[in-house]
Amino acid sequence: MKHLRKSFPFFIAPALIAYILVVIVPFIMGIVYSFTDWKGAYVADWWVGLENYKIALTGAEFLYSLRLTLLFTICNVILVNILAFSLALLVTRGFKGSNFFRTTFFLPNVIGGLILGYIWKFVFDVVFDKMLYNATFMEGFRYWLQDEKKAFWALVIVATWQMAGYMMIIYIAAIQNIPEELLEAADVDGAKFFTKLKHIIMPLVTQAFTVTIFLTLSNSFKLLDANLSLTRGEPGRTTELLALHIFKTGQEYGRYGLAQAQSIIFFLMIAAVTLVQVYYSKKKEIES
Amino acid sequence: MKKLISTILIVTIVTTLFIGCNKKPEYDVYIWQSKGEMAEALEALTKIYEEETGKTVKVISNRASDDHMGPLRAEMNKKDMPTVYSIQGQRELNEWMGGDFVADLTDWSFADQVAFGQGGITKDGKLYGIPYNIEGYGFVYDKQMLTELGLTAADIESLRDGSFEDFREFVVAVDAWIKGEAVTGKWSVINNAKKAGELKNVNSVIGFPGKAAWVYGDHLVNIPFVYEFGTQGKALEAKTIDFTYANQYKELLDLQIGFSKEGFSNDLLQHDYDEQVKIKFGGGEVFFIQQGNWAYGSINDVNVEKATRLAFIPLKVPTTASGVTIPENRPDAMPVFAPNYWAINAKVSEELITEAKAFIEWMYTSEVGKDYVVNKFNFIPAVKGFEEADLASMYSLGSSVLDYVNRGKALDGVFMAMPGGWSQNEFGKKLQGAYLTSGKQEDFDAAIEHAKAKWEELR
Repeated sequence: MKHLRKSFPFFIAPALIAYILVVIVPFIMGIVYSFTDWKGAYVADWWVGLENYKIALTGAEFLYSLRLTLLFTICNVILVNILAFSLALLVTRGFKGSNFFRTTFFLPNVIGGLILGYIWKFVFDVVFDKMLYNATFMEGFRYWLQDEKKAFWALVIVATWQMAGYMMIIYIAAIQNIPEELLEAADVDGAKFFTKLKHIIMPLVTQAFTVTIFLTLSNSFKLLDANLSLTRGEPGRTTELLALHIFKTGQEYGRYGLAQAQSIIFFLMIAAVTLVQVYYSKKKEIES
Repeated sequence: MKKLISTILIVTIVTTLFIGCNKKPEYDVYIWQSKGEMAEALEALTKIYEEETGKTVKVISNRASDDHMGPLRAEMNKKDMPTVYSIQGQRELNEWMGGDFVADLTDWSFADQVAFGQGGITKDGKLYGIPYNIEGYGFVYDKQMLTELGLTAADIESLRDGSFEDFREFVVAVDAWIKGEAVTGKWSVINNAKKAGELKNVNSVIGFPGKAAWVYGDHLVNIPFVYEFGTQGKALEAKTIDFTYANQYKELLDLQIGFSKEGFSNDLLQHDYDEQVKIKFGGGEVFFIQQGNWAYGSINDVNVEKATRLAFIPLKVPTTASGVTIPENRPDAMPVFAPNYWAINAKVSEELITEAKAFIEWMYTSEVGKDYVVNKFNFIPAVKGFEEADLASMYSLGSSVLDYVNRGKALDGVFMAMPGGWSQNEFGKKLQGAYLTSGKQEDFDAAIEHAKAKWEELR
């Protein structure tokens, strides 16, 4: 033990240095930059006060993206968790080939979000619109990326599809941790599946819910890659989520200081929402 | 002892992280340029330069054509920053000058060679950039298609120099012919044309890319803005815009969308540059597309024969629309401008500045350089010293642009002075979000109002 304590800094140092250099330092620099007129390559004005924050919080497009992101997050958190939990229940029932399905459901998570977006763009534009619509003439297959409401749901579908597999793994681990004797006892008492689900499984996986809701919440808030490759905010700017909005403010408008201020606001929001969520979820957890 | 080892280790890791930045640069010229199409050719040319002079040249070509500022800004944060880089228009010049990145080229002997139209990029009478080339855009057409339709060279010339109304009359006639209706009046000659040969695939008059916001956000809006502002410089100073000729803009936009296959519908938003140029135009489905000389490469990829027969008809707007009149309408002229300028970084050492200048001068004056500029980069050069023999092998659309310049029928590229993000994100995308699919007047008005408000905010 004593030995371990001595070599402790030795092992932690590389990771800590890397973390400080690529996370902490840029974060602090980001806070500083949010009070300046930063042009990307140089700083034109080292102090503009709260100007950037004022512009950010009064910008109609920023607020639109904020509302859209909230809506997107709500839809996504609900759908991902329902889907992931159902899949986890399904593949832990021990039927033949369940391992194969676990792998398959997890697969979308291995593909990067950018590529995923392009694949789904092809599905929506070519498979849905050009092939299925032309074969069936059902309006439901048309304009998935051209109609602003459908494009929003297209984004939800892709994000759900991507995240569900990962959350499923977490649920599987939690479900497998449930002591067998509890379920057996319930069986002996003649409990039906839904009774067991409600009174045994659900209460005992609340820990997993804390984790998955936290992950889906923060990942949905921060979603950028699939948004960029699937819709790029189009049609118009109607499907531009916050992360993409901030990206554009910097890259396309060249207003890096403003983009920094938006990022800080964004960070504070995610931090607040997820902390509140973890606090309340933790309260509900019980030990078996 | 262990503590000592770990401290040493930490120190080494940290120092190796910083050491990389303190070496002397391994190049004499470091070029950062923004035209992805010429990447390979420029590499090849620098190899020749290296062999001839023994210098080392480093080249980075940005391939994402719609965003070159983001990567370039990142590159400028390094200690070994580019010595030669690319500036697109007055707005970017302003940004780089704000950080003292732009060397004054006024006293450079080669500066006298900068010719054609607007010449180099200047501010307050000083020269800051040498144009890569000049480019132009308008309605691209295939001569053979119009000939098979029954038009003579004189007819085509009358379309080229005629008014918006003349052009529209022709478009209406061709549309009727495509639909199998009888054409009466001035263009009744096209009744005799058969849907065969080059015309066998035709399904509409114009191909319009609803997804490519730069086509109608940057390029098309340039036409009314040329008449509102005149030059890039004026547009750059403008704190607000009136959009005086918004209705003229609408007429030209409506003409393009109205006579496209899709019309005002969600289908329009499925078409990007590639569909417009390669499938619709390259496949012979449409007579006209609004594009520039850069489309030559894409058309050449799908139809080599067709690529040799291309030329431009200018984008035109009506002189009077909804009671607003353009005092000096020039329907026979097309926008010709330098999209990219070579700028030299003022933050690098004197030696590197001299090396950078030497390379640019060599590129545009040596025999091999000139050959590359015209035939490999497919440039329409904007510096003096290119004889007719040098330009004889110019490709079809390039010659057409040159023809407009030589006849004095060039308009400025005012769109390059619009505030950052305005033209595509605020104006183009706003149109795309509603008007392009609905065609309603109120959606158009909303886009114009939004664009005006945003101009003021972003300036």
